[in-house]
Amino acid sequence: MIRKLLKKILGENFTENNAKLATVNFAIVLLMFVLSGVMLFFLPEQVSILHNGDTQYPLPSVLAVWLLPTIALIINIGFIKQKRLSAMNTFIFIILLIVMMASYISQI
Amino acid sequence: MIIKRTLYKTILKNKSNPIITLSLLMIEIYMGYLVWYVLNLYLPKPISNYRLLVSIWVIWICAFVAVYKIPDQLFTNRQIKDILCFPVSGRKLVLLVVGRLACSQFGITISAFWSYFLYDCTDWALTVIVILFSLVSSWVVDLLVLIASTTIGNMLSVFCVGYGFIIFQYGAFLLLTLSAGGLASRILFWPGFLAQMNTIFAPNWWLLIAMLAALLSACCSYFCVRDGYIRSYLNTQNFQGRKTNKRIAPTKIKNPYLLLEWKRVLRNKELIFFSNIKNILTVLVLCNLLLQNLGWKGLPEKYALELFLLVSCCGVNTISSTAYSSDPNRAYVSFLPISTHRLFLWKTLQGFAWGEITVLLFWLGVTLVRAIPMTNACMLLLYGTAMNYGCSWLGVFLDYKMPRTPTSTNELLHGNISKVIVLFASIALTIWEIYFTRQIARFISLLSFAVCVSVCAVMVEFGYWLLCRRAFHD
Repeated sequence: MIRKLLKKILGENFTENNAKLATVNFAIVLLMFVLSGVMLFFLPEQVSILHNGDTQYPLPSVLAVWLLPTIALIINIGFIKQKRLSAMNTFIFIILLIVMMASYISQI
Repeated sequence: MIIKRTLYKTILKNKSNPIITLSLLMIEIYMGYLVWYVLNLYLPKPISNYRLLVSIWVIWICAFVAVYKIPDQLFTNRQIKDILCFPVSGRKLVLLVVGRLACSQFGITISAFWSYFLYDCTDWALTVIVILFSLVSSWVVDLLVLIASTTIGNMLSVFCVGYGFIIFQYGAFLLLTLSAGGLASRILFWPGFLAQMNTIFAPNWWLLIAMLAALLSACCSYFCVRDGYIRSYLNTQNFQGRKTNKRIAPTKIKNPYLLLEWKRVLRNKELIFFSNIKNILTVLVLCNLLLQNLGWKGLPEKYALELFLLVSCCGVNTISSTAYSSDPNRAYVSFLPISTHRLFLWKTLQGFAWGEITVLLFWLGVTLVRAIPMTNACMLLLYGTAMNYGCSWLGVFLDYKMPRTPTSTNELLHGNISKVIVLFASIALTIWEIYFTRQIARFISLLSFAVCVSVCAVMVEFGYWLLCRRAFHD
């Protein structure tokens, strides 16, 4: 399905490498969703998504945990539409995954 | 219906796919819910006050989409030329594209408002009127963009019509950004501003006005499209940049890398002119937002605002963040005796030199306006220059590692991903410097620490370029 999507979008620029990278990116995003779902059982009822000095802006975990995976999904679609699939983007997704997990662990 | 779909696929190379559609739907539903949840939780009640605010956001997003899509899909789209020999009228094409756009705007409006009903459904009739107002207003914007595009295509000569469209798209984009930034800062930082707007806003009357405007603009666009669309489209398609037949005197090229880069930048007038204007405005909007609070109200650290101003100037360097993707000569580099390692250095230096103009302008302005002592002013300049090199290097590096194919039609967002990453990284570094000098090492002055860090960053980057030659495929 991802190969078909890429063939449509990238046309002549479609290569095996693109297909592999897009699959890996989608897999990372999916992993982010799954991990967020798992972390939901360990996180407190409310987690802070923003702070302004000492003022915290908490949101219920059930809502806040999907924010970073959603942002990752938007970025991934943006990369595909802009024809910017590369190893560097995949690296950015891995960093985002690590940042997400670190932020969850710091709030447990 | 099938003919319409085929036509749409032919002219736009329709790329709809279940994965993308499903992802977008999910994102819209989530964002819509999150917006109303945050508004309900953190802003003063009643929640009905924020219908107008969300309505303005919706119109802004729809206007941005219209300004981006209508000229691209109806005027600069080369696919339309292929089907003009078939019995398809221009009116039908326009209706098809604008109709699809209106449908997507309907989706945006619904996703922005759906979760409002979870919090308050006492006056649902009034909410529906506000939704209709947003929808009709965004359609009015579509029609106005269509009329403006047709007028540009007809009024401007074949030599400058392309520039006309660039000015229109960029100008409208900047205007939208500035107005949205101004409105957001007023709503967030001026108490009572939203309440005052709500007293002026009578949904019924405003919907009526929007409907009348839609009727009027529909009539105008009907005549515009009927009489001028095809001519306007062909005029736009025949656009070619003015070519001078200047005879070039034979010269000895001493530094081919400098020449290659110099020509790349000069060839892209859009890069120098529009990007720099866009960058200066972005810096002004960013600093305006920072000034208006966002946690930095009455900045405790001396020169924190000046550092932010300079780092924003460095972060938005388009010439470096499009160093490779805007270079058509890149295809020849692989088989010419050109060192990609040295080419990288010259791309960084060119980006640095052009970025330094903006840095110097803002540094001069901030030194004169805020009467900064000479020693500190020099340190600020050193900081700006070092960060400028650091950001240029990072921009060129990201563009080198994340190449963009030249076949992409996405010109408005050109180079923005690298630029956004550079901006985020540089601002994050400044925030960390402020945090470090405030919380951990209070005895160090922020300015001296920032200068040291920026010089270290430049040394690390230069060292990486010097020592890790393989990273640049030399």
